Amino acid sequence: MRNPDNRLLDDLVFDCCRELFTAYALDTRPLGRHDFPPMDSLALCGVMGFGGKQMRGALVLATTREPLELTNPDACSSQRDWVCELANQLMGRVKNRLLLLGVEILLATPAGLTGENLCPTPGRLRAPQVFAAGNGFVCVWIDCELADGFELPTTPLQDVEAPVAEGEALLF
Amino acid sequence: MDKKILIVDDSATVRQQVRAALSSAGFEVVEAADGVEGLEAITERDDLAAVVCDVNMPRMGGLEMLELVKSRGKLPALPVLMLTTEGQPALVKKAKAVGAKGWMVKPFKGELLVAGIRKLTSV
Repeated sequence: MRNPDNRLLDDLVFDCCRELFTAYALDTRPLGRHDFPPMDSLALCGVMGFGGKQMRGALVLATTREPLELTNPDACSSQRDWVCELANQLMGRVKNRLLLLGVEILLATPAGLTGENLCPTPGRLRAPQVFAAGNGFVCVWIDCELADGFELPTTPLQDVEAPVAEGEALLF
Repeated sequence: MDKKILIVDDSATVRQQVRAALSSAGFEVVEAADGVEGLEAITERDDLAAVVCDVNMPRMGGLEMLELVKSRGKLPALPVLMLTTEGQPALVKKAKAVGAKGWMVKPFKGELLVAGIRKLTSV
C-alpha cells in the first residue's frame, strides 16, 4: 500500500462535501490555506473507516458547532451523533463516486471524536480542505493508501452500473 | 388504529427524523438502534406494518438482519424499506433478493419516505 499522490481524490471529497451541506441548505465557501481556521475551534469529528482491494483508510469530517446546529434536523439530538451521521453520509457520497471509477470499498460505522486542536499530521501530501459554513468552519480530509500498482482512473469507467443517487428512492 | 412502523438505525438523529416524518403522516413509530434490536422487535411483535432499516450498523447490519427475518418466515408479509447512505447496485440487488421492498439513499425527504411507506403498507 502507498499514499495517493494525485489531486483526484481530494477533488472528489471536496465536491461531495459541498453537495452534502447544500443538501442541508447550508452554503459552504472554500477557504485558502491562509484562511485556515484556528484548530482549537474544531471541536467535533466524525470518522469513517473504509477498506477494499484497491484502497483503504479513513475519511474525517471536523466542524465547529455552528454548521452542526444549522444542519441538524433534530434540535434535541446530540451533536456527536449528528457529526457521525454527516460523516457517514459524506462517505456514502464518496463511495458512490469511487464506484463510478471502478473502486469498490466497504464502509465501517462512524466514530465520533471530541477534542481540542484536532489536526491531521503535518507533512501529509495534501492539506485538509476547509470551508466557511455559516459562522463556523467545516474541515474534511481523507487519509488513505492505495494498493501497490493501482492508479485511480481520472474519468468514470464506461461499463460500471450507476449507483442509486442520494435522495433517490426505489420501490421493488 | 395507527399503523406501526419500526425504524432500525444506529443514529438517534435519523431515528428522530424518521419518527417526525412518519408521525406527522399518522403512523406510530417504534425504534431499534441496530440489527440485533431490530430482529428482537420484529420477532417479538406482531403489530408492525413495515420496517425502515439502515444497512451499516454496529453489532448487526440491516442486510444480515433482513436475511434472519426472512429465515424466520416474517417476509414477505412485513415490507422492509432500506434507508441508507449506500447506493451500490450490488447491495441493492442483494437486498431485493433477500426480500426488501424498497431502497432509499440518505439524505431523505420526509414526504418521499411517507409516500414509500404508504405504498408499502396499503392493502
